[in-house]
Amino acid sequence: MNAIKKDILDTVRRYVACAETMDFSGRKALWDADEPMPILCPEESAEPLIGWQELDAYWSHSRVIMSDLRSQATNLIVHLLSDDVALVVYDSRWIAHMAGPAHELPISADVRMNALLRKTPSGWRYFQLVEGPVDLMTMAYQAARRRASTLFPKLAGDC
Amino acid sequence: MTDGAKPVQQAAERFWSAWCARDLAALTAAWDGDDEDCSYLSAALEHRLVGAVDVCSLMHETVAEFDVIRMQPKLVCPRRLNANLGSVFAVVDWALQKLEVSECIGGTVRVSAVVRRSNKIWRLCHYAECPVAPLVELRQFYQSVAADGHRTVS
Repeated sequence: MNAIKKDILDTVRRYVACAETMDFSGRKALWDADEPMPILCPEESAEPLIGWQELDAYWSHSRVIMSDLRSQATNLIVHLLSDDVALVVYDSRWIAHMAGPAHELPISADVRMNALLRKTPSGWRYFQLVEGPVDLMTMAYQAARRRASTLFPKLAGDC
Repeated sequence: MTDGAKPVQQAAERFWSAWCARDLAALTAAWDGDDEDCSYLSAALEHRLVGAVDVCSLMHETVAEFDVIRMQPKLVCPRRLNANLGSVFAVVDWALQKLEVSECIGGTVRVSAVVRRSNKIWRLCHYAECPVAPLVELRQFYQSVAADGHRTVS
């Protein structure tokens, strides 16, 4: 792996690692502060977040609604689109404990990340991040597969 | 829209128009076929498609399966990243219909796309369909049913 891709992946890995401590300030620091129109589209957000005000509000809210968050990135692929712009795609599994007594068990899902980063004097920084889960129909199928393997492990193993 | 972003937006619009017309030649032409790493993330597939062959196969299969295709952007944020590179974020309503069953399915996806200029033509090299989390979509569905109120008993 060349040094440029290593630097890009270092930014992405640091970004993912911020989840462990719910360090959303740390995440913000890995965005290009000079970008006038940052775009973040979390899967759980009904509307995309466009502009620093919306991103800041989202990160502040995330601190409140979750008591614990862990995130793991796999299958990271860097496409260096030009000398100063990169597309990084990766898979992410997040596990979250939602705050409040009604949420005793954690929830988790897999999401496909589509990140655009730009080379800045501070290093490679995000300016757009769009999270892509599978759609409802595909997840329903995944749920049925998982249920079958739980209810009929031998049958699922034979398939 | 950032300066010089118009051709970036037009590249994405050509792709959506080609879907609506079910025009395979235009769909294929919307992609940079020279890019071995071009990728398409379909919301309905568990894995990314990488390379022009797989991307074209998906478009062929979709056009063959559905008689009516609609892709209607309702928010488009194009950026010109440099002389030969641009990105598009968009929110797109879609619908697919098979005439034999007359039912139509549809939804909304957020799109992350990258376009590149080569030979003076702007074409896609990355396109990702990103729906809202199924958990959220299911809640929205329940809410829409609730908004209908109770069924009328005849």
